[in-house]
Amino acid sequence: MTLAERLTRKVTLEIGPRSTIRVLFTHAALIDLEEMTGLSAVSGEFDFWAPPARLIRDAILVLAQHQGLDVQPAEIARAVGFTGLGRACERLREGWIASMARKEAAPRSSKPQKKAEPLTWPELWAEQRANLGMSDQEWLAITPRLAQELSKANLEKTRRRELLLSRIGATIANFSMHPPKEPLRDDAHMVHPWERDKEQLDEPESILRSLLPFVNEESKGAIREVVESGN
Amino acid sequence: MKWSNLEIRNNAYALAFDFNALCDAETFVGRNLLAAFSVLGTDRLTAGDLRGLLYAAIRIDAGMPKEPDKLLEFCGGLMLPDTIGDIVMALGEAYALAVSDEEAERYRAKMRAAEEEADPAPIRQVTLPELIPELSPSDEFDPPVA
Repeated sequence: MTLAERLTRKVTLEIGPRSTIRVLFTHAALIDLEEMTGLSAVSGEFDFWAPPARLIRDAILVLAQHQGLDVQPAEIARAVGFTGLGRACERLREGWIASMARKEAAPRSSKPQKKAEPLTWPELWAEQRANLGMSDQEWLAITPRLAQELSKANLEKTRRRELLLSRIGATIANFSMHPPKEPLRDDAHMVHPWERDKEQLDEPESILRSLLPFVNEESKGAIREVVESGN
Repeated sequence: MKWSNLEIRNNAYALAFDFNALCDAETFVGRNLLAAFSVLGTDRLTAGDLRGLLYAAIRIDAGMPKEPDKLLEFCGGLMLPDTIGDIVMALGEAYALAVSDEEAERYRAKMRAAEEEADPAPIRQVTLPELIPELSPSDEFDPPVA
C-alpha cells in the first residue's frame, strides 16, 4: 500500500463482479488522464459534477491501469454498464474530493485580489520538487491534497525561520544609535508574514501610521486627523 | 438490450443506449451527451444535443448509412418540426429502458410532466372584428368625413 493510499480517505468502485478499484487521483494518474482526454486538470476542466460519459470511462480506465489491471476502454464500459453510470460518477466525485487540494480561504484584505493564473504541470512539479525536496517518483505517487499539506508545513517552517531573523533585525534597529521613533515589530522583516499580521499591515490606517516616524510635525497632524476620522 | 421504437414517415427505427456507444458518440459530436439527458424534454435541450443523442442511440439497419458523419447527417434529417416530439419521447423511453427500474419510473414521470407543460392550448377560432375591434363591417365602407 502506498503512502497516498494510506493517508487518503478510502473510496472504491466496483467494476463488474470481480474487480474493485481504489478511486485515488495521484499526480501520475491526473497527468495520464489529461493525456487521454485532452482536458486540463490544473485549469479545472475535469468536471465530475456534470461529467460527459467519456470522462467517466477514461477516469476509470486510468485508475484501473494505475492499479495494474490490464483493461481496455470497451471492457470498462461493458463492466460498468449504463445502469452503473450514476454510481460510478458518484464514487469518482467522492474520490476526486478526497484527492484534490482544498480551496483555501482568500486573505481578507483591503486590496482587491487579483485572480491567480493556474500553474502548469512543469511549474507545479518544479515548485514542489525544489521546495519540498521530493524525488520525481515520490511526487508522481502523491495526490494534490498531500502536496498541499506538505507545502503548508513548509511555509510554516519558513515563517518561523523568517521570524527569528526578523526579530534579530528589529532588535538591532530598535536599540541602535538612531532607533525608529515607532519601534519596529519583531515580524517587520518577514517576507511571508502570517495572514492576520498581513491583514493589519494592509489596512490604510496601518500604512499611514507607519509613515509617522518619517514626516514633519505638520504632516503628522494631518495623518492623525485622517486616521481618527476614518476617511 | 431493450429497444425503444420510433416511427417517422412510415419508417421504423430502433433506439437504445449503451455506455460504449455514448462515449464514442460524445467523442464524435464533441458534446456532453450525458448532461443532455437531464434536459431532455425541456426547452433547454439544443438541436445539437438532440441530434447527438439520436446518433448515439439509433440502430443501424438496412438502408441506413454506416459512416459516422453520414449517419449524423441522417439523424439530423429525421429531425423536423413535426417529428421532434416523437424523437424526444422515444429517446426518453430508450433511456428509461437502459437504467434501473426506480430511475426509469422517476424519469418517465419527469417526461410526462414536461409533455403536459409543453402541450399547446387549442387554437381558438377568431373572427376578423375580434382581431381588429375598431373596424366593423358597418363603418368599413363609410366615406371619409370631409
